[in-house]
Amino acid sequence: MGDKENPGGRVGRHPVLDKFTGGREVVIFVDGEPLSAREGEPVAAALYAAGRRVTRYARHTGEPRGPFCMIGLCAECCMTVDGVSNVRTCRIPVREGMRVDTPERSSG
Amino acid sequence: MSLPLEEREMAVVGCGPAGLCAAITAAKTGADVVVLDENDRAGGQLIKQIHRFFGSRRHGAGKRGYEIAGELERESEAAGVEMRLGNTVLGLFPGGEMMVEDRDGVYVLRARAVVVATGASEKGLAFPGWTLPGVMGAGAAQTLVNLHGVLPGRRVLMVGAGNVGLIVSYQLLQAGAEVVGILDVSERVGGYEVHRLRVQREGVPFYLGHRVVQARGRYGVEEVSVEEVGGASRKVFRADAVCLAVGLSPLAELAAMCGCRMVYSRELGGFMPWHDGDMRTDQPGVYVAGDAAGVEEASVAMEEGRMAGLSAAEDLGAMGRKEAERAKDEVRRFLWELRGGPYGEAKRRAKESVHCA
Amino acid sequence: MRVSGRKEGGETRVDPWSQAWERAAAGAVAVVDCGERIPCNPCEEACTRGAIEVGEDICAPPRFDPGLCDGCGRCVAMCPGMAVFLLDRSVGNGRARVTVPYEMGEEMRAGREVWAMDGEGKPLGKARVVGAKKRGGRAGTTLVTVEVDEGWALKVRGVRDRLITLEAPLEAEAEPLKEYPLCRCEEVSGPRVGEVAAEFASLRSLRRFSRVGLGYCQGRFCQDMLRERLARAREMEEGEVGTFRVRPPVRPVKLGKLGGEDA
Repeated sequence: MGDKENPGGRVGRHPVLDKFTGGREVVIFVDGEPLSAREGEPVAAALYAAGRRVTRYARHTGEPRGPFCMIGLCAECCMTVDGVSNVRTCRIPVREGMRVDTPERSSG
Repeated sequence: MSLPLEEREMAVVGCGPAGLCAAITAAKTGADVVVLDENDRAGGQLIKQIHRFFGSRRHGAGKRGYEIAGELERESEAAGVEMRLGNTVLGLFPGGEMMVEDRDGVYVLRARAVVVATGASEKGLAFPGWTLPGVMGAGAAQTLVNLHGVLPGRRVLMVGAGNVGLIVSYQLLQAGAEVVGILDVSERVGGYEVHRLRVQREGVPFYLGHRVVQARGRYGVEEVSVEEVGGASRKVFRADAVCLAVGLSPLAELAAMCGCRMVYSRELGGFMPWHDGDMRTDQPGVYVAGDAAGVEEASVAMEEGRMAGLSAAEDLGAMGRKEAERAKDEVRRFLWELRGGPYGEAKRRAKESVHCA
Repeated sequence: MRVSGRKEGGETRVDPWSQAWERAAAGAVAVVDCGERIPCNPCEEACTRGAIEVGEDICAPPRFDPGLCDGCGRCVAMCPGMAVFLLDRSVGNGRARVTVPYEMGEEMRAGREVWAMDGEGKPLGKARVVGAKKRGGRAGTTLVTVEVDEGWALKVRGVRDRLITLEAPLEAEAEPLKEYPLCRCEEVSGPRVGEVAAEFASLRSLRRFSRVGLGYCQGRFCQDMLRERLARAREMEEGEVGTFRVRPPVRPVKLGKLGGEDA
């Protein structure tokens, strides 16, 4: 899928905040492909850091959607996580081996 | 089957500056207080604020937002407040009954006093392409960058030149992104002059009197076209993120649900529960504080939280009327001071019209 | 387009840089470049010598007495608006030192050559850093002192390790507009809502007709825009258009959990 771009990436040096070391580096599986992420960070942030902005496709128009509010209010970042549908990926922390899938369009 | 029921004296929904101050104030009078918040960290939106705050010492001025969050959290622990993070209040019903979801399930909590301190949500701005990945709230960008260390993009266009737009722009620069411009439909910068100057000092251009026409891209934003209001010429920015800082709305759904009369104020961001100067709503035992009671600054949220905490403590009988009045007078004085100046006075007038609505 | 300084109530305030000029001949002195009425007083708290006064009215702009200032720089590190600087002309030889608060990512240290920037982010020229110290621990603010030509001293507002040239936007012709949803969740068209808005007297009736605000976010992100459009179309006050009715749950929850099933 052509939805892996390279927008922001991770913050390097920061004048105020300590290094964003976060949790240890683990591997999760996004649409079956391995992706390295930091344990405990929201799945949506891990996807963004890897340059993947698309979390789902709109039900009717099929247009790509991505995280919009990052605090669990908008549901644009909903994906299927470990087989559970409609999970807000901005609110679910990364765990090793997690399976994250782009929802089927019909399941909304 | 029935859900487990728990009875408490006082419950605060929302663990931001307003909720924590309400809880601390009431707990200090001896009230039994539990704070519920859906997030795993205390502090509400303070935890992603890395700039130094305005206000006075009482409001943590000169400290960074996340430092203030830490102090309030320690203070509430010392005051004996029970903090229940990761507990989402799904509903609030007349009589102070709440439906709460935690990790294990859903339970019912009934409290004689409930403070709704649920904050605000960012407003949307619809244009062709606003649904593209990469278009997000300025607060969302702030969450990504300051909490999770992830940049929303390398080249960001900020829409909105109020304080949020200016502050988040600066924070994006601090994290290493480029801010290709700050755009506002108004001809003037809405935020504080000092915020404007420090962004301008970094070479960020302002496009005042401009609006977004549309954002384009295949899997996310790649470019954004803008136009001068009333003009014909268009400009196209190459950008991989567009941040919307077009205002906040009070998030007081729980108050509305339990029957509080809602009143409208454009200046304060939209509909909020009617409340008096002591932060009592028209529903007995239900109080409101902070952005949920009309969008203002964090320092005001803290004072409103204290006021709500005092009113609740008074109504619960944890505090005598005279003693409560004395403490409230002090809070009133601080609120009056904070609502000074041209920005504050507009808020004060709006707040007064809410009290009278 | 760049914006110029804002004057308040027709009052022109004393230029704090010129005010500090004479005193700066004797050594570092603060330049308190803040004149707006906002509720803030950490500069007053920071000063141990009583040179900065805000007073009872916390919105009053700070009053500064250069005669009492010893140029310690505590106010520079404390000001939330990053609006306090230091000016020092005691070095002589047509040179001056300017200290600026610095909170960007690149490390600044003495001896380093940097660019001195003006208030609009335009480079004035190269300058040598003669001092850089972080005040207030890890999350502190770095006070960067640069030595510059005295002629620039009144203009320096920032420093930069390298120049970044922003790519200017391209001028373009009007392009055809795409259709777009106003309600993100239910994908209800923005233009279509505009067409039908005049036929509905309340947000609730528009919702029943079109499904706006019935989706996952419960109208949090479209409600204000809908209210505005409805009010405009009906020539009503926004407050009269009302709100969506709120029903529990206000956050998504699995039905099994609501039913008391084990998670």
